[in-house]
Amino acid sequence: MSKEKLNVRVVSDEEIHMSMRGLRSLIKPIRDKLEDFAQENGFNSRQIYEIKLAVNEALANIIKHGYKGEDVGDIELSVETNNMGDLEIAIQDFAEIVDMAKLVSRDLDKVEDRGLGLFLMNSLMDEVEYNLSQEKGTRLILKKKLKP
Amino acid sequence: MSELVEKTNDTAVITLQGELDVNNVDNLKSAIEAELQEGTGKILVDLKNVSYMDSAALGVLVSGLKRARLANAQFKLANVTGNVENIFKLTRLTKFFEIYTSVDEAVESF
Repeated sequence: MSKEKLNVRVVSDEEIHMSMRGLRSLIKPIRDKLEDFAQENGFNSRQIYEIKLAVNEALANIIKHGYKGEDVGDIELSVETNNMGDLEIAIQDFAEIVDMAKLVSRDLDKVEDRGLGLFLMNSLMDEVEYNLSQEKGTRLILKKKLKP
Repeated sequence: MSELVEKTNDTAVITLQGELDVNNVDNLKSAIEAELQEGTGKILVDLKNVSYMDSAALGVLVSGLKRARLANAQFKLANVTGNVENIFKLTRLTKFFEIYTSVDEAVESF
């Protein structure tokens, strides 16, 4: 895998796969690809912003808490819509499994700058699932309905 | 993302442009820090031309607000609109920040 590059494989109009090194500079190219994909699949401007932000937060969390730094490991994304038009994004990392209990979502009654990412990811998507069944790595599934 | 700092007397207006995220937010952090270090008493961040913000960018603004309070400085925002405004509302940050609809209105409020 080329280090500074986002690798994209388009399977169809409804399915793309991407892989990247865990680098923060690659989060924007991922957002741009997601914007194109979601737009082509009928999502509106607000939904697209929310999808981009949720994935942004997931990737930033993997780099910071999973890999504990930049350029430590790889991340793979598969993005597809089902026959209802709903979006499913699977994000696979290969880091040591993060104890989710230690990641705290933000307390909205306090002016805090920690925990915002997890709060946003959970709030902006219709479903968020973690698959921790493998020995190493986490598969995060984010789902967004086309029609809320 | 790019930022421009315009300074008049004790007021600094930090104008941001583009997408503000975890990869470039250190510039904003440094700009706010520099103003606080210099003893600037009134700091305004203009988000008019910001099309995207992630939690790292929101975190820098929250951190700026907290640090300004500790330094007895004022820290305000202007032009929080569209999708960025939706995220401020979702995270309830609207209740912590003083937010104005224009730079002029914000500067007058100091």
